[in-house]
Parts: sequence; C-alpha cells; structure tokens
Amino acid sequence: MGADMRKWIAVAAALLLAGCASPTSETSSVVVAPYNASTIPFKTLQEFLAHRPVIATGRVVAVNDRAYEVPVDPNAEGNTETDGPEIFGTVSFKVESVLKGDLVPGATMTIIYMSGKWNTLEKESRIAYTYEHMANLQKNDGTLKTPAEFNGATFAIFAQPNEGSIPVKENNLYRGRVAPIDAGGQVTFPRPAPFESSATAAVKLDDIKAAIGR
Amino acid sequence: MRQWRAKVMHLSKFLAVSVAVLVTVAGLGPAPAMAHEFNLIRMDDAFMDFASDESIDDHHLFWNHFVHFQNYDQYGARTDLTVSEKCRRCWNDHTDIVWYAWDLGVADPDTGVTTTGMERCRKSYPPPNQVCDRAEVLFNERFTRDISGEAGFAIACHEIGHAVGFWHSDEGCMWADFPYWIPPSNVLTDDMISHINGAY
Repeated sequence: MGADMRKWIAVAAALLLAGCASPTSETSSVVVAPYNASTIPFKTLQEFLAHRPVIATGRVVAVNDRAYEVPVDPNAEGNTETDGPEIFGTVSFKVESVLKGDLVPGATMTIIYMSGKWNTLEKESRIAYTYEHMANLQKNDGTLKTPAEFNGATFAIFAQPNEGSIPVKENNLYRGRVAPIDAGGQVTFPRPAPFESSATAAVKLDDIKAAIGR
Repeated sequence: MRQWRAKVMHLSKFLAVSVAVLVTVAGLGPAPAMAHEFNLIRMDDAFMDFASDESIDDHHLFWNHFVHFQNYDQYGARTDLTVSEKCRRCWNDHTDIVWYAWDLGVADPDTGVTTTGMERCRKSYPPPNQVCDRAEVLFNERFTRDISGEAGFAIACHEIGHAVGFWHSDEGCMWADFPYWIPPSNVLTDDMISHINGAY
C-alpha cells in the first residue's frame, strides 16, 4: 500500500468517526409527523372566549420540547404493550396582562402539549409532532424556537388548567393556544380558525377585551 | 501521459472520498421515496390493513359504517385501502390504521375549538425510512349518533386521507376547515385514489 493511499484512508477514517460522533446521531432517530385534526370553529369570537377560562398576554421566557415522558397505558384503546412513552413539551410565558382568570402580571405561565412519542420501550427512535396551531412556536423539525428567536414578541394566550388531561402531575400547568400580537394590537390566529371568519382569523386585542368585558 | 493519468486517478479518489465523507458528516442520504402528491408522512405498507379498537358497541357500529365506505370516489371507484380489515380489538403492533372513538370534548384543550376527528402516527420507522408503521384515527364520541351521514363520511375520509399521506387541499374530503367544505366533500377525489392505488 502506497503512502498516498494510507494517507487517504487515515483522513477518511478520521472524518467518518467525526461524523459518527456528531450530534446528528440523535436527530437522525427522529421522524417528524404532523398531528392532524379536523375542527369546527365556534360561530363567534365570544363563544370561543367563553370556552377559555384563562386569557392573558405574555412573552416567551423558556421552552423545552422534551420536558416530560409518561409511559402509555397498554390497556387503553389504541395502545400496545410495546408502545414507548409519550413525550410532552412546555412553553413558559412571563405574563404581562391578565384578561381572564386567576393569574397575576409578572407570573410565569407554562403551557404543556404532547410533543412526541418514543416508538418502543427501548426508546431508540421517536416521533416529533408538529401542530398547525403552534406554527408560531415550533420549527419544522418539531423543536421549539428559543426565547431569543421570538425577539421579544408578545402573544395572546388562550388557556385552561391542565387538570390531568395530560398525565403530568405538576401544578400550574396549562393547555392552550397562543397567537402573536403585532405592533398595531392585532391578534392573528394560526389554523385552525377559532371562530367563523376566514381560514386564518385575526382580531384586535381591544375587541377581545371588549368581548370579555374588560 | 502517465503523470496526467495519475492526476486523474488522484482527483477521482479525492472526489469519491469527499462525497462519502459529506454524506456521513452531514447526514445526507437518498431522499425518501415519496411521490410528490403525498406531502405528509405515509404508511409503510403496500398492503394496507386497518382495525377498530373501539370497545363500546354503539361507537363501533356508528363510526365503522363511515370508515368502511370512505374509500370510494364520487364515481364509485374503490381504493385498495379496504383490502384487509382486522377483527375488532384484535389488531397487532404493525396494523396500519387503528381507529376508535374518544371524548374529545366540545372545546379541545389545545386549540380551544371543537375537534371532530384527529389523526397521528403512533409508531414510525426511523430515518431514512420516513414512513409510519401504525397510524391512529380518533373520532369525537360526542358526535356518535349526532352527526349527519355526509359529515360522518367526510370526517372518516379526511382523517384516513391524512394517514395515507395527504395534506389539506381544496378538493374532495381534504378541505381544511369543516364548515367550508363543499360537496362532494365526503369522498376522496378520483385523482387522490389514483395516487393511492399507484403508491401503495
């Protein structure tokens, strides 16, 4: 074997090892899949707001797309004994104003959602779910944008206490959706539209306040 | 001449190793074999099977009617999706689509609106096989015996359409928002059925 050939093999082997050791080994075990739902919007903005016990505005201060893992119940409909745990993510907001509910300005409010699922109990590969209604929060690979990437954007948060609907036994967790508020005070909802108007609903924050008597 | 051949050989080796290294380091592999008409994660099987995991008779009988008949287009042409139905509650880990009814409430905790049905992949093959091994379809049990036949077909068609890989479109049952669906909105279009029959 010539010196040139040995040199090439050494370089190739080093680079191959570098490739194996890179962080892509984690991301390569993830399949991104949309979590799809067909929905019926409420007739009016008022009806939608009536079904949201907590409404606030705030800025994103922390995110974790793999905050919790919970084993599935193998006896529940749709599960098998080999199904891996479900994964839940969180998005935390510093509350700026409270339009409805028991929160106070300055408090931290954390939204929890199902962010994915391990395929098997061995947890060798997982699914990352993406949601249309979280289009402002998620990246295409199912991870969450970092607080810095939101660049100080303010969101309207329409939520309800978790109360066990996601089986994470921790207080002060909420479920809900968020919509960005632009500089003109317009709140634009990603799909699905929360009330009948158009496919993407937009409404002034002042109209939301008026609708709930603030 | 000999020197020239040696340079070509050297360059060839360099290119071959560079490509191999690039593929390894960057994680680039061959693109997933996915027809461009399907823009979601698809099922893995050419021989599709599905099953109900619904334990309550009333829910099972109501929704099973729609699941069975959603696979026809407006002209009566059938897809091959109905090739195999597992018996109720005796599906296995690799059954392609498992459906059941679930109380999805009046206002979904996440979206805040009424969810009629939903679809998600519950078990996937890891990359580079970006396909779903088992998808799950849920119907909102609050609509059992409380929804029109056309809407029932539309919801079943829409969710199973997602499972096989269709995203929203302004055709057939893949309309995005329920109130805006226009007839014939409870069936797959003949074009969608051609894609399904061609791909699976």
